[in-house]
Amino acid sequence: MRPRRAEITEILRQRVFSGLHLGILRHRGRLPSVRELARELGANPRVILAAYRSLEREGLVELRTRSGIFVAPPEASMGDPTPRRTDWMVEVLIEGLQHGLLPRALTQQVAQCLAAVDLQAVVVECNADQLYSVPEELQRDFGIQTIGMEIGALHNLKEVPAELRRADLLVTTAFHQSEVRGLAQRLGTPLVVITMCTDLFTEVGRLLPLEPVYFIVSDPRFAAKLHRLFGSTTGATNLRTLVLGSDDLSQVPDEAPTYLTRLTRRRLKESPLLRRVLPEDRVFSAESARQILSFAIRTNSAAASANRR
Amino acid sequence: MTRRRDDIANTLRQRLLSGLHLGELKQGQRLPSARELGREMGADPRVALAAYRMLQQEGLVELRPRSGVFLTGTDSSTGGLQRRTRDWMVDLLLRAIERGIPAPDFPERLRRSLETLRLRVACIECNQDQIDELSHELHTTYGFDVSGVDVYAMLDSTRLSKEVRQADLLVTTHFHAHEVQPIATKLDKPWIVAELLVDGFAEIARRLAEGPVYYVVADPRFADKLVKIFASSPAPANLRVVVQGRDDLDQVPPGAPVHLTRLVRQRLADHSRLTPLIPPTRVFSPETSRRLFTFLLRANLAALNEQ
Repeated sequence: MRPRRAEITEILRQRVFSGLHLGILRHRGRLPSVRELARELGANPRVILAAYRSLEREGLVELRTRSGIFVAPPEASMGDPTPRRTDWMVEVLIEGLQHGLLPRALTQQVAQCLAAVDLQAVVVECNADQLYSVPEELQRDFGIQTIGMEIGALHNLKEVPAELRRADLLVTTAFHQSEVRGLAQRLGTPLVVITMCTDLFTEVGRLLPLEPVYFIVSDPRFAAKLHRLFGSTTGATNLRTLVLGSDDLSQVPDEAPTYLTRLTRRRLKESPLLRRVLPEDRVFSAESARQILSFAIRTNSAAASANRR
Repeated sequence: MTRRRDDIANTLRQRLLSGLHLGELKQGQRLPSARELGREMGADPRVALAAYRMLQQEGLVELRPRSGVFLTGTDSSTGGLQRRTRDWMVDLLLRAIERGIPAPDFPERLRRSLETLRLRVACIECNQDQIDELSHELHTTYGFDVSGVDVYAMLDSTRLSKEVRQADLLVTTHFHAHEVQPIATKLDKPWIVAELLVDGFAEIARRLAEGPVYYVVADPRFADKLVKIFASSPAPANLRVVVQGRDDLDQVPPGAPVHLTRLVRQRLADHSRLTPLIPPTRVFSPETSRRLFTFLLRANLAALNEQ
């Protein structure tokens, strides 16, 4: 009986290997039952079971009580198997291969897509807080050199300033799109009308019916804009805006949810001792970020391919 | 038929894009006709044509009536990159930004995550053809320093070779998992059982049903192994394994389906007659790629964190 068992083990091992190579079997896929194999190979079911058991010890198959015999999952000992924060890069590299990009080529292509030309953008807005946060994020996250320009400065323009004429891209929010669109058309410059990331506003909208929410801003015009923005929400009277430099910040209750704009954070030498500072928010919505990245990559890869010619 | 068309389009897209990036294929180059492609992939010419049409819509190839199929490679309206690839890059940079990595920092971050360490891999197999094929991919795609190790030489020797003892990772295939496992355990080394892309073998198995398929190898041990692998395919007798240096290569009839291992392609001065029209580019399954990249990134990030 011994040699028969060794022989059958070898037959089954080969079948599993070949099946995996030919794509007939998959990892975790079901294998024939002991009874079926015994019939097919004309052997005692106990011999078949013994053969399966020795393949199980090799880690090739799994015998699960009352459910059957399966090809084992791919083997590997890699130490800690829990997914890590960085494992998304693994997916990026695999997707890269599907686009025909080996890791090294991927790194180069991405770098080239972002840095073939120095892109310059002008952000047009109506208040200092947004004229700080929008350019800061464009510069940091997208690598686009950006300057801010007050919408008021565009009225009664005798001559278009050089920064505007040089800009590769104009950026504004929905509030000012009609004014800026005309200018963009006149200059022939692409315009992105951004929508803001709404996480913060959603959170504030949720809190307002329950309790007062404080905003510490640097420009009274942004305070006015916030009141317009939340004017129609429930609990609008719970919105309290304070302007850095003119209002007394100590009136903010210690326990009240408070948001400091990025410009305010920057200007404040010492943050007030508040317990519930709302986390700093991303400026751009995913959709706007996509538009800006598409613009940057399109422009850069066009420039890169023009350079090659 | 749609599924087969999509399979062929996917395989073709990957091969063409890789070929372009690696400089093996050139823009404007003529590609096999739908009929030739169908023959090579063992598919109906109409299915091959449908796959080409799909790729034409993506801007990757151009079908010119009465003159043939050509590789466009880049889409001039989008400048330089394939539209698909460009859209994907936008997407991946968005994912980076969401994770707090500014887009301009991403390439350098990725580079450091891959290249901070030089990692050594011992690639353990039983024949020269597979050792060569696996080692080549482990080096070019993953950047490992690879040593090929003959599994039987390893088992026969009293002392494990330096390549195995000093390796950061052991890689083998299913066939030798049970031999490599005890060694990995003894040395306390991470190891990976590599799964190979099954399309290559599955393709050959399918074509065996239609007639003889020739497989040219360098190492007779791989010849024996192939016979075993295909023993459970529909028509194993149609597999003709030819060993370079031992058998006469002229026995391969012109136009017959033929597969050469990478090692044979390297050793044959003139293999043009035997070369597939669009060479395959990758050998590891996506699951194995994932394991290899995970190992690579984690090792590098651990080193970066220590610095």
